[in-house]
Amino acid sequence: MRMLILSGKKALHERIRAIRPFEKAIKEYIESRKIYEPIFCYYDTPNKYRVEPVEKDAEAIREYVSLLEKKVGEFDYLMLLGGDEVIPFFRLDNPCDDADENVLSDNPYASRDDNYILPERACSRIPDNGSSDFILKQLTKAASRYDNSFGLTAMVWQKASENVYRSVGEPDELKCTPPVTRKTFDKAWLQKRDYLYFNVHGSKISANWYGQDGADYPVAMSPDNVVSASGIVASESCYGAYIIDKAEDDAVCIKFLAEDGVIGFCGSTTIAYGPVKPPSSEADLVVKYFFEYLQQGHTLGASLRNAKLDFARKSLRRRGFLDDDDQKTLLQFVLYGDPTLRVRPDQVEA
Amino acid sequence: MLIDREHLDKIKKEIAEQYPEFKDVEPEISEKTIRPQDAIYRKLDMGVPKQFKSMYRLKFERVVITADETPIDRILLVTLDENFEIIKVVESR
Repeated sequence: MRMLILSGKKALHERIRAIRPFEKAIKEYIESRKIYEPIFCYYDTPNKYRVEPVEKDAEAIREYVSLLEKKVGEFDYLMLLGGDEVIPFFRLDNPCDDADENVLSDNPYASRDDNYILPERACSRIPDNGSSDFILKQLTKAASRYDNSFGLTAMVWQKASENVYRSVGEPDELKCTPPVTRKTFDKAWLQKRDYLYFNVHGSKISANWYGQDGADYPVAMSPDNVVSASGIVASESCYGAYIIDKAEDDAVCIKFLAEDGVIGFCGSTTIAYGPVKPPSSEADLVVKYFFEYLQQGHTLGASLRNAKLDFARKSLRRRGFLDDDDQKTLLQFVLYGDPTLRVRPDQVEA
Repeated sequence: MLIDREHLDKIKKEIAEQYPEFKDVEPEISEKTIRPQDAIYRKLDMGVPKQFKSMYRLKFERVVITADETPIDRILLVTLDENFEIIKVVESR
């Protein structure tokens, strides 16, 4: 088991200023994760492995990881420290004909070859949110066990969502929006939970997530509804993991990560797709498999990687090929948080 | 025309019944040639890929306004096989 923790010194300094406490926290993190044999590198400073520093460019950073791997050995885990301003997302061609010009993706960082639809490494990103404290918090989180989950779905997708949520909770406990709205949302729903699941609408230009019943699109929740939340969050909403130029007040995902009890966020950077009813496909299927691997005791990072691989296998068995929206789904889902954390540490990872 | 009128009308009727939100939306139709995905099959250790000639995609798209007046792109994607049978329907989240 080997792990690379990667950041960019110049860009990170511009974002958080306080580099020393950050580096101290990294040392402590490495001490606490010896089983993963972690190494930390800035891609833009000289290092003991004699890999030439590179500029802040996604392709160059990916090549840097590849060269480092040749010197050190294969990385099973990759943790990117910083948001798009520090380690840029890849801007990939959008396989789908929709409003997204590109698909923001970390898949190429997670993949050793050019077929980066399918990742080999367990990869996650810790957004910086312009704050050293925010990053340090993510590096010291640990899961608590509550044996309790929460799920919220747009009314129109209730059946489809039940099929996903049953991996971690009782389908009849799933809340629907409407009738739930931002105003009736009970903050206690997010507290003392292992899993938080959302299958709602999202927007690039709004902080809110939305429900749907016919032509009615109520505000289902906003960052203000996230108070003392806990667990791992998985959201299927369009732009649920879109963080560019966003902070806690205008992105639900960042608000979740700012919570002490939330160990990670899995979501889509762009327009996501899913079915209205079972069987699960696209975003539903990725999240369903993600939950299933977490329930088996896998780490967050391994769970998303395995979910993507199983999603591809399932889609190929069903239709024989990955179509445009299958490919987009595989590229757009990202994980924020420490990839080594587990929801069920009591289970043994296969 | 990529799909004959009879098949198109049948599909539009089915979509209107099951997804009334898109009832009056005229779909954008495209034909997609499926290139062999050997590399993906190989990476997943799944043997020999199936060969396909083409598939058809119907995109129904409209903009809706949410309760807080945010415009949201609503997209319904219908995938058809070579015989114009629906093999998948998904919509934007």
